[in-house]
Amino acid sequence: MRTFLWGVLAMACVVVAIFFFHYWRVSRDRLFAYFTVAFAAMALDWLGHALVIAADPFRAEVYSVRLFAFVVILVAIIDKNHQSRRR
Amino acid sequence: MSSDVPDVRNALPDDVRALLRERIESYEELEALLALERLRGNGKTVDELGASVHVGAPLIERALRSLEARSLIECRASAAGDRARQPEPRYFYAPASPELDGAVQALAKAYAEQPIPIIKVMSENAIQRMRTGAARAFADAFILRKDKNDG
Amino acid sequence: MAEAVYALCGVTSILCAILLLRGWRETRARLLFWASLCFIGLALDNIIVFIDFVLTPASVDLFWYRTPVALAGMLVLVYGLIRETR
Repeated sequence: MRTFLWGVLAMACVVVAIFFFHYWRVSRDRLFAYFTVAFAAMALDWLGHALVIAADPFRAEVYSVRLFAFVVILVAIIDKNHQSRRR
Repeated sequence: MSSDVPDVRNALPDDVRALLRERIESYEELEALLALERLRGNGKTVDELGASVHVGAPLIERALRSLEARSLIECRASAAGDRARQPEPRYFYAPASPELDGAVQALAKAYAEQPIPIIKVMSENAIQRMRTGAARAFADAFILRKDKNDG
Repeated sequence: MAEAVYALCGVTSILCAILLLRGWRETRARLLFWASLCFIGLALDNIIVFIDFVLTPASVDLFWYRTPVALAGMLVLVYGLIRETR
C-alpha cells in the first residue's frame, strides 16, 4: 500500500512538472523552468521512497533529492526577485 | 535602401513586436506614447494628452503610469513659471535605451503607414495575456516586494 | 542533518504557500489558491517528518499522517492546473 501511495505521489508530481514545463514554453519565464525541475525532483524523491529498503525518510539517499527540489524552488524565488529589480 | 512596397503583414520587425508584446497593452498607451514621441523634448500634461488623443483623463492617466513603469516615458513637474499654484506635471518621451527608441520610431512609422496589422497584433497579445493570466499571476506571486506599477 | 533538511523544506513550503495566498488575494486567480493548498500539504508533510524525527520515539511511525496530507495537496494542485487549462 505504501508503495502504491508513493507511486501516486510521484505521478502527481510528474503531471505538475509537465504543466510547469508547458507554462515555461509559453511564457519563457525562468521561474517555471525551475519549478519544472523542482517537481520532477520531487517525483524522484517519492520514487526513492518506494525503492529504498525500509523507506526510512532519514536516510541520506531519500532526503537529499527532496533537499535538491526545495533548494531549486528557493533559487527560483531569488532569481525572480533579482529579475524584477533589474526591470 | 530600395523602396519596395512594404509587405507589412509579415514584416513587423522583431523589436516592434517585442515592444507591443511587453510594453504596450492598450490603445490608449499606444496613442499616448506615439503622441509624446512626435513631440520629443516637449511635454504634455494629462489633460492636453487626453484632449489630443480623444480619451478621458482617468484612462490616459492609467496609460501614462503604465508607460512610465515600462521605461518609455517620464514625468517631470514643470518649472514654476507663470502658474502661482502647484506646477502641473508634464510627461515626456523618455525611452530607456537607444534600442527602445528605435523600436518606438519603427512602430510609429509602421502605424502611420498601416495601422491595421498593429491593431491586430495588439489584440492577439491581449488574448494571449488573458489566456496566460493565471500563470503570470503564479509567477508574479513570488515577487517579494511589489511596486504598484509592476508588469 | 536529516532534520535540518526537512525543516528547510517545511519552511520553504510555508513561504511558497504564503506568497501564493497573498497573490491569490491580489489577483483572485484560482490557480494560486489551489497551489497554496498544495504547498501547505507539502509543508505539513515535512513538518510531520521533522516531528517524527525529533519528538517521537522510533517505534512511532507517522506515515499515515503525513502521506495522505501530501497526497491531498498534490491532487489539489493537479486539479487546479487542469481546471486552469480549459
